[in-house]
Amino acid sequence: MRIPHRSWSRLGAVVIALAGALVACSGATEPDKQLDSLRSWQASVRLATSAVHLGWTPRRYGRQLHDQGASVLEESRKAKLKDASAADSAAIRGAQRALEASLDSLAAAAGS
Amino acid sequence: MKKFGEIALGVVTSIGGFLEVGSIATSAQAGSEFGFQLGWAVLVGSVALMFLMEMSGRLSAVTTRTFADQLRERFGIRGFLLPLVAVLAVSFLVLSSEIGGVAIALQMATGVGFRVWALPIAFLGWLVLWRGTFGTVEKGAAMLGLVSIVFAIAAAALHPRWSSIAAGLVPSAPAHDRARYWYLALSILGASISPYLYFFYSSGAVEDKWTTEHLSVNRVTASLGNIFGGGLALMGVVVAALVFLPRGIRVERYEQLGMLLTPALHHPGFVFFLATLGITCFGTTLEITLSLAYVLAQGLGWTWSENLRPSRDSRFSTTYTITIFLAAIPILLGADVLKLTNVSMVLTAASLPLSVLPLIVLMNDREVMERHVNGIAGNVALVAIAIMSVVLFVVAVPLQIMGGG
Repeated sequence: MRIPHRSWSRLGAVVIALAGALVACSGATEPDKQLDSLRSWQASVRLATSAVHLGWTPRRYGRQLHDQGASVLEESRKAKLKDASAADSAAIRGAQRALEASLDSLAAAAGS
Repeated sequence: MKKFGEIALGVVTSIGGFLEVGSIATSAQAGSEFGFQLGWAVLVGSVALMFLMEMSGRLSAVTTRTFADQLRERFGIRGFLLPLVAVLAVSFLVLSSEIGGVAIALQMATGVGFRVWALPIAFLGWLVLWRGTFGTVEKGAAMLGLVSIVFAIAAAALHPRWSSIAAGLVPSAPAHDRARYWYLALSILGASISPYLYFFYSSGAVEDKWTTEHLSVNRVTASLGNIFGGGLALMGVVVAALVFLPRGIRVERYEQLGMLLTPALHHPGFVFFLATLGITCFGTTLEITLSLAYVLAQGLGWTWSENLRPSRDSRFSTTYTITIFLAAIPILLGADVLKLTNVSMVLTAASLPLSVLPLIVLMNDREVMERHVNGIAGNVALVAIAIMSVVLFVVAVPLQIMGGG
């Protein structure tokens, strides 16, 4: 009866060790994630802007992406970040402004 | 000539039915974040699925019974209950994701919000199941799904460096974000090796009245279909690596995928992406709905066949009717389709041991398989898949927590 108990303990230890290793592996902080997300959306919006002239379906898609990008921007402005340094906050504000400018360009191109 | 026709149809069906909401999303995420580096996960998933489908098809051809029938018979109702519940639960989540995939495609095409489409899609799916036959569901949807070849055309148009793609087929450690890397690898494996696929394939073999004469058809269909289908999923990784990665686009919402093929194929790329997403997800919606009804009916000993009139197998047809409408509810309520997809792919990977481990027993049982038991190569592959499935089971939840964000 002891052997299965030991093996379950070992399995538990392996799972805990694995989870611990994964915690150590994940390096991205909240400000980093926020910055990545804003830059990613800006790039998505730019790509959509470059395609709206292709026809009415991409134009309609551009308007949808504009609305989603705007809601991402809104959420980012409302979010209170933990562990954000002054440099992080400045970078995030810069990325927010860049996304806003890209959204304006998309709105103008897609007619939203 | 007849056999050649069956093989060709089977291979085409497998290719057309390979891509779906999970493989499109996970391939795009992998390519946009890690370039070609996760190509190996697509390869491993496709090869593992190839073996599992071949074995479940062989099991059905030899015994003229389905995998679910054999599970219940060999392990009893108690032994069957756990795989049954696991397959039903994870397949239900995948089904919701597929309905979500169709709804997102329609939203991108029409501008009407995806929630509005959930019930009409469920109704249309139900109507096809109610009025159609197994051939309609399997071959009709998969033939239309051949539109997904557009991923290969887009990849070729982008002139990738093929040696770099080949290098990605060998596992390597990521330079950044290790938890995310392994999470995406897990999601890709979950998207490739969904248990509903081999339960559906096994049921299809019985619906098509396969016997030992079909063993070669089974072998070629499972091999070529999954190799070419996996190739299309790999092309998804390639296109995302060449379109999204250099631009810094990280896929956070399904709608961001809309432009995936446009830089390569311009306006047709956008239209074909929507068509691929909508058609392949709808085809998979039909397959999963049927698969859920099959597994339940076979497990509980009900009369079942998509080729029968619904009044002749009323419990079976009632099951798929309820299932497809229930699965539309999360989408109707506005669930985030990408998150739902990722979670369902991870849970699918975690559920694999429950169906893979019993397959080892069945495929080596001479009373069941007679002289068609697994050879050494088949057993080595199956044990490797079983070990991988147990590892996936152990790491799934920690990876979901650490890399899912």
